[in-house]
Amino acid sequence: MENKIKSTDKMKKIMKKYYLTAKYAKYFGKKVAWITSGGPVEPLIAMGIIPVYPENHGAMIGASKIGAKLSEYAESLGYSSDICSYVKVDITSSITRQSPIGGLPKPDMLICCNNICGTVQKWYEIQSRKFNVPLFIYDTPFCHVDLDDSAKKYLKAQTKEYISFLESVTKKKLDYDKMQEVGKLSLKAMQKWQAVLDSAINKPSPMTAFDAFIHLALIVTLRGKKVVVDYYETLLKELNDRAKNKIGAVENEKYRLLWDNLPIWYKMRWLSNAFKKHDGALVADTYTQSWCGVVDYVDEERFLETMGEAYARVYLNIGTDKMADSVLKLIDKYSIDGVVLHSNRSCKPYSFGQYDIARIIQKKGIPTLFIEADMTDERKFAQAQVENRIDSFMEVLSQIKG
Amino acid sequence: MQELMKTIDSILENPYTYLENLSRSKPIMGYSCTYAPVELIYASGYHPARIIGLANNVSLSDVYLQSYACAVVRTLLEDSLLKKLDFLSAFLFLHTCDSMQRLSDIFRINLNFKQFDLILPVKFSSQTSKDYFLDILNDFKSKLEQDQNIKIGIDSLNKAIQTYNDLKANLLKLYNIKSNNPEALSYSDLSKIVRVSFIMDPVEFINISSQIINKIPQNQYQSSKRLLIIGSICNHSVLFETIENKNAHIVWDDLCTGTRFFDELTQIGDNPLQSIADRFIKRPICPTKHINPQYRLDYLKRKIDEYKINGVIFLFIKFCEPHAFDYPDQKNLLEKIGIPSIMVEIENHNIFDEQTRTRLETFIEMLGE
Ligand code: SF4
Ligand code: SF4
Repeated sequence: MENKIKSTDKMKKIMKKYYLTAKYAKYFGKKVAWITSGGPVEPLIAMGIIPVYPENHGAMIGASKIGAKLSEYAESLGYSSDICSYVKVDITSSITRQSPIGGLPKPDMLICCNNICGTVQKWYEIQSRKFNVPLFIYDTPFCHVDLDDSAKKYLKAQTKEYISFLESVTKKKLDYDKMQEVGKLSLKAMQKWQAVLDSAINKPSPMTAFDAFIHLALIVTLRGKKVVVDYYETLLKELNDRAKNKIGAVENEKYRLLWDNLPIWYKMRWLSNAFKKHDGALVADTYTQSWCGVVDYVDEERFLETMGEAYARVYLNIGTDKMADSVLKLIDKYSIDGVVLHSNRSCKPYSFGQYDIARIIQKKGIPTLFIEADMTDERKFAQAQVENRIDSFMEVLSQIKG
Repeated sequence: MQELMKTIDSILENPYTYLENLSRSKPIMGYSCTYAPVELIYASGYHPARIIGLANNVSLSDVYLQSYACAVVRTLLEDSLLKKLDFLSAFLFLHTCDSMQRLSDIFRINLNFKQFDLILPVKFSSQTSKDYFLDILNDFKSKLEQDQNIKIGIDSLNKAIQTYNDLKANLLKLYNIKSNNPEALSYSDLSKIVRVSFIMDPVEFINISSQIINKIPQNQYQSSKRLLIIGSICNHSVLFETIENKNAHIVWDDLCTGTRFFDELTQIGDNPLQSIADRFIKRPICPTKHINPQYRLDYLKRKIDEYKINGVIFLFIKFCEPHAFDYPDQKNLLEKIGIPSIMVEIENHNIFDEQTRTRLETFIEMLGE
């Protein structure tokens, strides 16, 4: 996060404008849909519906260090301390309007895609009851080993079902030409995002995973809009310049690390420094790759037909051994020396299986470090303990690598 | 009756021994939850057995699963790692919660079971998901046919459906007896009968449960403390005894080790797979499935009216998310309609502590006479 990337300010402006438009959607005669972060957003964009992402909002709440407070409030309503904190902070902020942006605009509909977890189904059911708005579930069968034909057929059928749902809520027809255009832009955004992440192949890396966590906001929230493609082009140019001039995100980059699982939003700067102290740079991560990892499954000319299968193949919807394969690929691609696994109390689908992934990585001679935490709830973070673990891990790395 | 219960007790004390013996005459397919199409498995020549882990101490699992995984997945894994499940010829995982889903991966990567995964739809409401349900049952049927080297015909499927309908009908009869005449049998016994039905050869079970039905005294008695339990898996006989010793009666439940397993029978007809899929959609759904956002609340309300419930006990396994998400709205609904409730969280599904006992006793006393 040091050696600040200049484009960031521009992104902040785009995000600000986006949230303002979403907040005043009604004034513009627009409908608002809440959608899960990995959900098929393109049809919404094509229909002029404004997508809003409670998870992105949860990340903002986490980063502003009020996650624990908001979680506690939800717990006082009866929500268990063991459930995903994104749900808890969302429930609280939808009641109390507490958040860096004063809460999210009310939804006209909810779109839930379970390609990330089963949690979102329960979460969106709760909010659908609360706001009394229709809920569409885009059900992506889990892909332990591969997707079978029945699943592929189901996904295709649901895309049609999804569009009819949107048409009935908005009482408008989908413009298929517009849809095609949005699909292309979405694909392009994914490719650009991949290029941004790939700039970290350079040594030293011009960006870190912490930068990626921040710049992720656009691909998540505005995928399918031209502004995303343009922004990532600008960012890419800056990163390429930095690479050319050997400007590293971490000044004396010596050890290249990979991060697994969601970020710990309230500890980003601290963590970045804790690694930097040892000349460690987190140059890649599994989380931000999720928004470009399936790019090859999307056919630009047949976006709607291929969209479902691509969405069903995202990182969190595949078997643990397949996840490990992706990690191994990233290790190679980004010349990784060690892997840091965030065992995340909130996110069971991301965290269970990590022990196996770690074993598979270790077999390739790559050391691993586990950090126990939660992405928004500061109560689950023991700083002194984490610091000790990082210190000893970096020492091990230095012995291996010299 | 006591004799029959003794037989059941002895099987439940050591279900794996029972299954091991059975495995000498028939291959056994273990399965993880009540969404297993037992009729289809049975028709393929396997004996379907629902496996609920038994281990009280979990240690080997720690190498594979974090401590914040629920006791159900941890004990299931522990028993497998302890090689206690080696009598199984195959294991079937059903797509339910996130934890079960990852457990399936952990099994596939680390254990040597012949493994099947049935990736159920999450929503049961739309035509697309109903079609998908039928498709995956068909796929599963083909896999079983290949595996067992047989053809599963309509007749043999209907025969299996009839067998399981008889089994389920007996369970339903017992629940109805309990609800009409709460003193006729204890919930602790009732729950054991349900759990033994997961394990036993179905024909043998139908025989023993029919005998029990005939032996139950039918004297009428009305209880004013009629309770409903909600949760996932519960095999706490001590807990049930604590409740019923206090002159309260558990007259119905919404549990995977209860009505969710047997409610609704499967139609016999020309398209048995369709009937199986239809039944899953009609039976009470568990919180990992979706029909509409109000479903679980409406269901609760309906059961309270239908069974004249005076109090509700939520019995949750620690770290079980699907149930935990439903709870606050369910609790609010109960408050609104004036039904007292209590939530009990169990860390390990075989252990029940003193503090929980006291809370439960106080709750029941509070319900009045
Ligand atoms: S953090 Fe994990 S459990 Fe929570 S919404 Fe995201 S993917 Fe689901
Ligand atoms: S008890 Fe809950 S979390 Fe555990 S396997 Fe069952 S549904 Fe999943």
